[in-house]
Amino acid sequence: MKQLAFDESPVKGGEQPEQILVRGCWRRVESIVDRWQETGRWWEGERVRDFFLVETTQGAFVVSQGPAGWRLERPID
Amino acid sequence: MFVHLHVHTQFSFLDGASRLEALVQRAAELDMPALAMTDHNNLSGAVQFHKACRQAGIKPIIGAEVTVEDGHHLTLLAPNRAGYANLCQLLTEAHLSNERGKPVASQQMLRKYAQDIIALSGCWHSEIFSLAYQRRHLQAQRAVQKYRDIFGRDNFYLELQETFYPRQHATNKALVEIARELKVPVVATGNVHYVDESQFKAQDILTCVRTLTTVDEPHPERKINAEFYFKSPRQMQELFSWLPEALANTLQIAEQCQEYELSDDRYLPRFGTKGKAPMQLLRYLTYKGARRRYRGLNDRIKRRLEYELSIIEQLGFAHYFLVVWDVAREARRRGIRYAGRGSAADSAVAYCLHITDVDAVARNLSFERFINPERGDNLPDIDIDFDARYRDDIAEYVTQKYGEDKVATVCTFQTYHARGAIRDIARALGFPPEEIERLARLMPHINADAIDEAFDRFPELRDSQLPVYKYRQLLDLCSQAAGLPRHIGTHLGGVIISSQPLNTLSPIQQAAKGCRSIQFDKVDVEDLRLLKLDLLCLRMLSAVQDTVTSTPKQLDFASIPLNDQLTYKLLNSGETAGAFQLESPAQRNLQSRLQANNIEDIVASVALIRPGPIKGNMVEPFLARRRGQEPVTYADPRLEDILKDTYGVVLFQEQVIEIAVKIAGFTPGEADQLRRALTHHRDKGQMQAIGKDFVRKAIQRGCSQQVAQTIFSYMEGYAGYGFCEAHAAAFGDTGYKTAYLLTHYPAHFYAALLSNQPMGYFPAHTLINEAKRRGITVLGPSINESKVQFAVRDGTIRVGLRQVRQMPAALLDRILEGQPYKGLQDFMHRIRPPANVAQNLVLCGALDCFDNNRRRLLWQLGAYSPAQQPQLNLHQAAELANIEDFTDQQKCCHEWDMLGFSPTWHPLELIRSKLAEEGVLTVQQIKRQRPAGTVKAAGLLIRPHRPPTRSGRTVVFFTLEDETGLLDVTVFENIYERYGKEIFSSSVLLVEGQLDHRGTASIVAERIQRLN
Repeated sequence: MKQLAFDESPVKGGEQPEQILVRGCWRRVESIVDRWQETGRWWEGERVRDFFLVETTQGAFVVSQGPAGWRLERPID
Repeated sequence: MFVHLHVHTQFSFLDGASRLEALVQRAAELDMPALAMTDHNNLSGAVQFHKACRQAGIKPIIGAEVTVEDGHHLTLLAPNRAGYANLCQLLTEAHLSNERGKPVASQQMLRKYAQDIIALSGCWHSEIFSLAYQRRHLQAQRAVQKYRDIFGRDNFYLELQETFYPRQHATNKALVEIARELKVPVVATGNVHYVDESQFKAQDILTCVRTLTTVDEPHPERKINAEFYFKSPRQMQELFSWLPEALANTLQIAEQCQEYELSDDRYLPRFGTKGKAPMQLLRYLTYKGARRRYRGLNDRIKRRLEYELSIIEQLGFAHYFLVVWDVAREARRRGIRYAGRGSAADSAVAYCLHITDVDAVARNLSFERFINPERGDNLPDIDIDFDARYRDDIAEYVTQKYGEDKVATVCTFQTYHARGAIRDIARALGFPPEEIERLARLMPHINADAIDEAFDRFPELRDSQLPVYKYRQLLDLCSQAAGLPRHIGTHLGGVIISSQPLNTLSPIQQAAKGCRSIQFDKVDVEDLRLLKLDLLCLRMLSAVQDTVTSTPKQLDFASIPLNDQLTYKLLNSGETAGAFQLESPAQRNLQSRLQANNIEDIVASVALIRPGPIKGNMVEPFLARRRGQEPVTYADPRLEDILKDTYGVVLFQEQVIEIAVKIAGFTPGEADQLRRALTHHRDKGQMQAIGKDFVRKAIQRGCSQQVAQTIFSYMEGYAGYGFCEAHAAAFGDTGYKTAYLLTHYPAHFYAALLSNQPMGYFPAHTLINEAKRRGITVLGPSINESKVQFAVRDGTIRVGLRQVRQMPAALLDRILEGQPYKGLQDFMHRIRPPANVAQNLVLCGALDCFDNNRRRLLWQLGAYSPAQQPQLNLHQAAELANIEDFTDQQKCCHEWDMLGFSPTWHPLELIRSKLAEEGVLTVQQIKRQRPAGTVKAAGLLIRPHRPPTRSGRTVVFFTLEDETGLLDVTVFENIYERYGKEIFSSSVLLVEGQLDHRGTASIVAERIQRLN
């Protein structure tokens, strides 16, 4: 089972997400169902993030990409 | 190519974050041939948008984003004038049929006004998008069919936006599918809310202000990203590369839209003349009035009246004059005091029609200052002040006379300044309320984008030790909100009268004060050539009315003699607190130096104490010539006639017109244009061109070049600061006459002023103090003796019960009906006042007639409840007898809290002995002090202000009030730099400085200290 380093992201990708770490295994993103943008808590200095609703063989997830890289936001039931 | 058809300007109050000029400029930069404006449920920006687009060479498309049933949005565009009228009527009905501020257009209304309207299905909040988003395909289809039926197959489009919202693109695809099925065209829009992405934060914070949320609270109306900016055609092409027809249709819609004028002369009112030609009636009324005004009609008067009437006829203004005459006549019929002011007083016809009281013939006033015969496009502006209590009655009369649908008030746009911006935006950012209030109160009256600079510029802010770094984000957002309108308001006086229903020109909405208001402000109204009457409230007229009706002889205010020596003596003393326009420190000082002995001096005084003349250093030369310390000379003998009343100084705008006519042979109309050019501070090149023209024409009429240039330099130097003589004459007359009341009927006049507060320069406590200083006894409120208002009996002023804090009007009536009361028990038993009111009555001294121990009275109040009579046992009665009363200081504070002043003590009087120990003199002692030197004074701080100065340096003026009078204080920049914080954050000050005996005695501050 893959263990993440302290600063390692559970999402890999370039302009779009490509793999997501699900239950210790990297899963390929099968399709991008939707994408949108959110500015977040700008008053606290947050910058704009691109959000993706993606499907993998292990289910659907929302992931996002911002200036600090990729982030796994939440699984979708 | 692409055209934006869904654009919010600043008039989508607290939603659009860019001014429409910036949006139009961006469209022009991007070579867009047209641009639409679609604010929420209003067309307030229409006139400005129209103008800005025309100037930029862009076709304006006027529309609105209308709220329909269930709160959904629908984008409507008016492709022609008929469509514009329908849109106005639709919005009017949407506003007037619903709660104020919550307009909703029903389906029935949409059907009624759908003709000549192009409808786009709307944004994320639209009915159709919402259904498609919820994947309710069939219902979405039905909604599309419904709107297509309402607006017609060719005038309904499915609106698509790509703003990077979740599932937006998929929903757009579903909408396109519906469009294909139903053969409905699609159109792409940007839902623009600001020009560029950087303004997203401002838009978001304004939304928080509008929705009363803080940034930490989510709200469906807040945008989740910064994609609502003005995208370029290229960006839109990229976003809609999958659907080019949606872009092409924007151009098709723009081409379908015509350019049209919003208004025309049909909207000017027609006065019912019962078959007579309006000019015939006006001529008849003018001469009828002239015979009353003048004992004999000489040739000069007739020539003047004929000249004015010919211009009024030529410009088609007869109806306008008749309308105003009728309003003035109605006010007289009802006994409502009024006074016409402004440039209308330049007209002899207006004088004869009893619209104004200034004799334009006797004063030889220039009619062209009022109506320029060569600028017929400008409607004349007539302002009338009414006794404030009855102004609304006159407005109601106008409404009834011309019809509810043809009369409405003008709106105002309340824009953000420093204090308002800080209060709103800091709240939305989640600052604690006490911190917000502290910061807002420190702000001077400056623009919201000048706050940053203010922290460097104003010592009171600089020394406040506020952590500015903490406010960085707040100040940036305030700066972005500067000048944006927060909400729509109602103009205090402007009333539009039309011959056509106004709802075909502007949406009409309910104003807060109950009247109906159009969605345009006074500048728009002028551009639309609508007839606006300024029916204004002037509380001074209410005070005058109260004075003349309360004096034993029922004084005739209009007939007050203009040569009363006692009145001039009062004016010359500079002790004019309470006199209309003549009471400010600068005016009082001027009066005592001017030593006026005729009404012309007073008229000149009104014009002299204005920012312009002060900044232009006109006051000192005027005074020197008036006193004979400087010779009165004229560059050309022909100027003597024009300038002799003002000692050779060009003080009035009318004088500029006369000079241009007499010296350079300008026509009166040209001369007025010259006056306008000089008054509006044109750039140097334009001024030189105007000057050359004047000099050339003056030389042709026999002036030497040097003299012509000298005369022009006078005009150039002074005209920019000049004041309208007619206005000064109207105000000067009222000012002098109120000084007469102050001289001969001080008790009645002070009582009237106090009853009509707030008004004038000084607060109520100063007027009370001034009245006492003149030997008038002022008695506190009494439950048995007081009336509602301040009243005079045997030369004594009695404070009215309305003054008591939290006193309900209905209760006041009952108290007065029940007078007199035998004692506390009788009063409490019969009136049963609420506990807080009873307590306030005790604390202000109104129940002293029952027991002068106020603490004991308070104690006794506790025994009364509405249900029971007081039953005291022996022990309690003994306790009562021993209760110690409040101290004088405590009573003074209580009275101040309950009444806004203390009729019994001046606060300074109570600390006088301590002040004397520190060498502080009373104001009267200071005024008698000879020779002038360093003195110490203490007093209540009144109106610290920083007027503009010629040097541009900051000078602060304020007045100190102690128990013996008023002392004006001047604080120069170096001292202000040290003591600014004390001046602007204290209510009682101790000032040490140099006594100056010029004019009314004043001191130039050297040291300032806050007194606790």
